[in-house]
Amino acid sequence: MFKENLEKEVSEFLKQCTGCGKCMKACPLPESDQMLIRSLNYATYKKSLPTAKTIEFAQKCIQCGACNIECPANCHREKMMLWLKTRLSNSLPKGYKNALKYKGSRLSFFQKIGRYFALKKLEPVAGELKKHVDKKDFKETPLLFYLGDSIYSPSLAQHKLIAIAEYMNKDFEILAGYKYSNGIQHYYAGLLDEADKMHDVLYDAVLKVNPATVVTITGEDYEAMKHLQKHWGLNFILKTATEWLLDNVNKLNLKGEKQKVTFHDSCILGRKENKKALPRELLDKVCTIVDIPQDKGLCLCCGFLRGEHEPDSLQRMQTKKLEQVKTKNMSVECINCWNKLAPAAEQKNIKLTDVISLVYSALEEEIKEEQAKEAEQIREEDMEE
Amino acid sequence: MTHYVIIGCGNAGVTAAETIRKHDKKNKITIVNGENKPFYFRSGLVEFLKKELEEERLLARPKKFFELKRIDVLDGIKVQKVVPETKQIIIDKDNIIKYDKLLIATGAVPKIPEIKGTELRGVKTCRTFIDALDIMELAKHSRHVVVVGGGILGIELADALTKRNNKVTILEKEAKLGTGLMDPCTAIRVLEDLNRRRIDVRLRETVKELRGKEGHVSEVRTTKGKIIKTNLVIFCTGSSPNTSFLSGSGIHTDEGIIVDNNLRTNYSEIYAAGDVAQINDPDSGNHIIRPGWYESANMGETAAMNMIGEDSKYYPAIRYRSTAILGVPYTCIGEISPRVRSRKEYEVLHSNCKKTDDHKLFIIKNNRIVGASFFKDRRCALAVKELVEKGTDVSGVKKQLLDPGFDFDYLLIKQRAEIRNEE
Repeated sequence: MFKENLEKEVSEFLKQCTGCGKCMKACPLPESDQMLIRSLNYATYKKSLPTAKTIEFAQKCIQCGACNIECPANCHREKMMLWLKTRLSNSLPKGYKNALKYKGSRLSFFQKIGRYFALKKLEPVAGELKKHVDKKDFKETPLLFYLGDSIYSPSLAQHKLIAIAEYMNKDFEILAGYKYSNGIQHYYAGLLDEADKMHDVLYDAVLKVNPATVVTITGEDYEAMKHLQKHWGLNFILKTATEWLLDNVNKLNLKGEKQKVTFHDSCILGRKENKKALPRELLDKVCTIVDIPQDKGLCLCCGFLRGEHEPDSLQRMQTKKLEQVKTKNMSVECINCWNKLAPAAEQKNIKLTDVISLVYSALEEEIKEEQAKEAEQIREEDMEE
Repeated sequence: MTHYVIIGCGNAGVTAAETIRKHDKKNKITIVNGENKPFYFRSGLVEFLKKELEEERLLARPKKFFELKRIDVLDGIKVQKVVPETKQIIIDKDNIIKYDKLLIATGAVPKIPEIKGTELRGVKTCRTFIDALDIMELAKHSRHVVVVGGGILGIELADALTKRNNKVTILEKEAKLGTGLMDPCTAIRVLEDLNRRRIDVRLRETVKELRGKEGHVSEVRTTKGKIIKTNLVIFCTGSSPNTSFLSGSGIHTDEGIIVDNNLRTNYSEIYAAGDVAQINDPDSGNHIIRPGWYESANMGETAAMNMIGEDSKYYPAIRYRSTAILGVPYTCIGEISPRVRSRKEYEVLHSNCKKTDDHKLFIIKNNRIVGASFFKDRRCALAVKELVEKGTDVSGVKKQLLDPGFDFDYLLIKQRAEIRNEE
């Protein structure tokens, strides 16, 4: 499904492209200066493999979408690059392959063993939510939290989100684990068929829950769910955790002093989905936002899709970005951004948080009180028995 | 052995040649190029004038492309005549090319109004690469430049020349800029921006007469009786199909070359595509011209398929223009001209241009969107285009259409879900 849709879209874009070169001027990759539009366009549709320079550029492209915003003809250069990548997917860089190998549900026997040991190490992070990992039985609920691989995120935002939902007495279900991975990383690597298979698994699971609302905590998860809506015809309201919190924020009593926080936009949520204002609106209630300039070279990117195979380049990108941060705190919306930026931020002595955690800490006292009350009640009941 | 000949080396011609080669590996393909430069990005010329795009980057295909695809290109050759009876095109007395299938994709030529003095040196249009080079050269010797016509090309050209340190005056005969393509709010925004850039815009005023000294233009007299001293006048007053060489050939022409939906002319082996073609529109029963880069590529493809013997149809699609005016993205879909907007059966929704930065306009007929334009934020443009094409009912969400956060994809998703349920 991915492939057919993409092919159709890309052939339209190729016809619309008027070659002004603005996409390459907006591209955060330093290599973009040397790319010619005609070579890129030609490489996108011809059958034989492109030149080494074009291959290198395609593999470095992180699909951030900065090019689309500048395009006068409203073409999606990032999708054209993706189409090019599908042909290069056999020669993926090793690091990228490693990052993908345990994700999805159709693994070989050895891969399954490998995954078992790899996830064993991460188990403590999943903590209490472990019982939801890769589960098969779901109850029908109006609210579904799709956490995917982020259930293993060291940011622990997943736990905080669930704690807030429990505090609000919501009835919900959780979809999480490597089996239900979002497939977007495969998609961006040009492995469209694999991504399709992963979405097939997701489709079945979401259909079982039959939710009215799905809430995600990363940009990639959001995009995967959007695909399910758009191309698989699933009908539900899709929300980022931020949107969901904003909807319920009036019921919450947010406390605490307002710190200065620099906000890092997510490429998918901020740029492609045009949801830049929402996290700012929410953060406004718990802290003071300080924005940094967003020019070429100093891109919005956390390097999520790049770092796997290019650690040096990732470090350069992140250092450049973090040098602009003048506050002690930095916040992100997408949990994948957190995962990627955290080590670099720690080196620079910047405290990295996420939107969910900031809201949670403003609520922490109340949630703890509530939890204590409940524990008390249970103890009393036990005593009575 | 079939000999495919294509007149014109623009987007339609080259796309056609490419498509023929894709399906027919054997036969000979010849492109007769009226210009000296091989296929280039025409709309990149303004960027070239702005010094934002180097000449090297204007070429639209890799350098060895034509060699690789075994397409012969004859550069700098103007066709004098087409003789369908003998299947020949005549270049001059000694040079005659025989064809088996012919595609005419000669594009358009700029229109210049019939006034006194247009033959003077320093009076230019901006369509080809040579024109761009000439303008660059002439602009060096003329501090003040007059651009006639306030369409998108005129505006962009004025901006480019200002960047080259020229003082520019735009003359537009209508009461607002970009009639037909820009909605009134966008036109006002653009006018403000032009004023900020110190470009002198004069509305309801155009050229009455050009006067020269020693064969070179020296002053412009306007319809309001004003005199502007200048050594360079550029006409951006639209273009018309380039069909002058066809007179007397027997090929039916009106404004452009009349073709059916197979893009075939009245001669079965002659086809026309691109800005020069006037295509049958089954909806209205008229023959209409659909100029544009994207449309040209589509027509080139269709014509090529028919030339190799397939049956492929081209129907004039919904008008879709996406561009940037002075760096701000602007998209218009369908019909938005004032002629349509003033009619009773049409309902017009638009955002308050004084309040918001992003301007949106929707034209609705029978609860279906038939036209729209987006200034600045045009993320929803592709989704709206699909809604217009599919004729989706929007009666339930009419009030929300202008909300900045309204999700047009959601409408499409709902429609897809309905289709799935029916299945």
